[in-house]
Amino acid sequence: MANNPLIQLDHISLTYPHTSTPAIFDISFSVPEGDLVAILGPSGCGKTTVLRVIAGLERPSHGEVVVAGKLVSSPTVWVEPEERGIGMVFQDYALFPHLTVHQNVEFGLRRYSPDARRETIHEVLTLVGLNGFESYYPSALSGGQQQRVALARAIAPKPAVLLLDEPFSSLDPDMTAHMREELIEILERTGSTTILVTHDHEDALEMADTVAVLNVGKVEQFDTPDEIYHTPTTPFVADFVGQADFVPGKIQNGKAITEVGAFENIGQLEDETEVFVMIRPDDVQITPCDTASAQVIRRHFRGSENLYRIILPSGQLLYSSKPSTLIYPVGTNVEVHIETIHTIVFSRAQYFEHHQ
Amino acid sequence: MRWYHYIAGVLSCLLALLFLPPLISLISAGIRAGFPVLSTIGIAYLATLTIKTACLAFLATIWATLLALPFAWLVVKTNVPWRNLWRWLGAIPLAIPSYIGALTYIMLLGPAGLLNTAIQSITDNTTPWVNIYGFWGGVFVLGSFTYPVMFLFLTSALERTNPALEEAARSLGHSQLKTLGLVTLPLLRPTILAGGLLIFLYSISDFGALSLLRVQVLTTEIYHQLNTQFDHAAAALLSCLLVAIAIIVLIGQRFLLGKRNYTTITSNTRETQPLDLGKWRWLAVSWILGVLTISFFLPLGSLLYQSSLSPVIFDVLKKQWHFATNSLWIGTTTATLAIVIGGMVAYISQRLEPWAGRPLSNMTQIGYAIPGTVLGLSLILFYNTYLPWLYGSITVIVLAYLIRFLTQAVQGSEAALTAIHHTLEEAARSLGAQTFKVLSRVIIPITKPSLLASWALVFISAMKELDAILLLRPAGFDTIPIRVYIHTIEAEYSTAATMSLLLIAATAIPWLLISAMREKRII
Repeated sequence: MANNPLIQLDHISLTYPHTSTPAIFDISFSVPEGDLVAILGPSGCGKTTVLRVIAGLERPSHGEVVVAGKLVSSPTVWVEPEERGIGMVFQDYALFPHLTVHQNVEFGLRRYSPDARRETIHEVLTLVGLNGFESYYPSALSGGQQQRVALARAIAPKPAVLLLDEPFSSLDPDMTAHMREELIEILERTGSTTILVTHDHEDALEMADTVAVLNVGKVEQFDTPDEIYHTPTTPFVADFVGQADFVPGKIQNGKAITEVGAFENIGQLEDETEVFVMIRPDDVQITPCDTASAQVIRRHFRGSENLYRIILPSGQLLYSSKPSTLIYPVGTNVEVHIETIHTIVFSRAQYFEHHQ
Repeated sequence: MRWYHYIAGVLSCLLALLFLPPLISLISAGIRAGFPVLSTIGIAYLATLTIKTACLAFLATIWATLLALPFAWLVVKTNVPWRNLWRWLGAIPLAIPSYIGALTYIMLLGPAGLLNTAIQSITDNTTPWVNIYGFWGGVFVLGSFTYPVMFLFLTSALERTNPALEEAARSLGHSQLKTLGLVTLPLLRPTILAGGLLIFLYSISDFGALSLLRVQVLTTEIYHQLNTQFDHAAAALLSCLLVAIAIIVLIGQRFLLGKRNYTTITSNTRETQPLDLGKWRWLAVSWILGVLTISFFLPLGSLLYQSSLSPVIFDVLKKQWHFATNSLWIGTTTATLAIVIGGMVAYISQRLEPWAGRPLSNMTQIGYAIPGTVLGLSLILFYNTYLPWLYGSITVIVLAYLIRFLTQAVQGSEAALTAIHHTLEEAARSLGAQTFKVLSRVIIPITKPSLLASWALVFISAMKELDAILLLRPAGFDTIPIRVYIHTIEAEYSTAATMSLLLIAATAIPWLLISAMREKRII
């Protein structure tokens, strides 16, 4: 990309006092201007810590943070959070309960003239669709409205970077999809460079230009959403981003041979290496056949799809995703056929590092 | 109608009989006193007295807040050295009743106190250098010994405040200092108002400390009218005035708080980095040491010093021992009755019949708001007139303490009951247990620690009480607080100090025992 990186993290590590293992370890990535990067990982993986380091709310023990070409954090340099020009939307929104919506949004506009303040507040509240709520106190607003106030407050001072900490975790699940769309639209209109933290791979895949998958404080993969989903570099990423089954096999004559077929040996692993092939449910085709030895043992009806649990003769289980109208009763014998565009093969050692 | 409906009904009637008649006699006596009494006392004098009482209480509240606010902020939000120690010590002055506080400062700063004697011996100047007696002494003593209430309120509020709010202010471009002024302090406003209200109400109702410090306020004037002028009507009128101030302030607080509800309690209890004080750390420690010196080290030290002056401490204790047993007896009886009745009230209001229990539990709160002197007076007015055979007996004292402290037992039990989810009782019922069995096998065992803690609270309150018992005691029936009061007036400081230490020990020990048992999960 032609854009210069707006944020650059260089070998960031942070160990909290009274703990021995670092919360985050050797994190490096950069975010081009205007991009949206999602930091994805399970709870406790350190993803919020990364955000807090960028915002200046935590001081890393090692490494450097550069924002818009300016070094803001290193072992010798420290810029206070209020001097960084970084907007943040907190997980629980952190709206000031003693201030109205208007005063909350005004809070970050201390360097503006009164006219400019009024104009900016009007502008951002229009953007988030909350005109007319200026005099409300946060406690009188719904969860979705509170989130929009928090967003308006964060973008009002026109920060160089916007940080969103689990923006959907406090919302009802049926509101999440709606807010996600709205958020994408607002961010597109403001053109903000954004870093978003989430534990939900759907949020990350849908919204981000680039996804950083974090596991126990380390970046496992930093890639586009498609690559994260289709070509995960580690079993953890494969498992965490969507449903995946791992079918055991062995490399023979340059192919990964498994119970469900032969696959390309993409890692150029040596012959006789024991491997696991990652298979996504949407790659598993099943056709009913009385003589076939695989069997449907369960149907999970998901509304928009049917997810079938298949047992292979060896006892290995597989998921297969089918349209919601295609119904095979439990007990149906099926033939299994794998159609993949991307084959992912992990060595036995790699696999057991993750699945202990 | 089930059997417990009858119990609830009988209990309501008994409590109503306990609470309402004395209050009604007080108000009717006050109204009947009306203008004739007003003209004998003089309206100007009355107005001055009222304003003086309110001013003293207000200034004492400000002083307490000044002591508590920086202290609480330092121990919760900063890296001041030994913060956990300070935090523990900060609440300790609660164990010193205000009249003992007054005694200690009379010993230290009275005209013949240690400081003046020391200065006189150096300078040959016979006029006292400082004098704790009077208005400002009252402000100083009441504020210094009530600040722990504010301190406890503030530390818990500061701890529950969502740390993300302060971080949000930082990320929106405000420095740490501005964040303190724009976010932290405004969020504490409701807490300061609530704690301030308690201290204010305590200060206007205090008799013991202010009487020892020779300040003329409403309570001391009530006592004076009653005990030296024998004018019940005037005392009743003054009492009504005092209660009026309390009600005005209560309404004022509601108004100030408005509808805004700052519930910022958060599930997010992430530990935050305390603010680094840097080179200011030792200034912070000296501030904290200063507060504790005023409210704890100096008073305790002077008590220990004075009691060590008495040549034969055991003789004093032996001579005074039956006063201690009187105190223990009153405390134990009151606490036990309160926890039984209070537990019943709480169970009725929380579980059986909220429509009957709520007013009951609210009624018990009135008792706590009545100043001890006013309570004593209203019981005298009622029992002297209608049940003279009860008047002047120990029973009246226990009744007075039930009126005053029952709410502590009710609130403790209510809190314990709300902590038990109702599904637990439903589970017991579905397993075939009946009301009584649910109570004895499920509720009481689970709430036992809280009930014991409430018992201890009532016990301590009753042990320390001075204002009401001074008016109600039968002739010759003295308790430790009364001995402390009398010996202080008679300037027998070493005996007063010894009795004070005895009282502090007697109230601190049950509390420490129960907290230790709770910590070790024995109860």
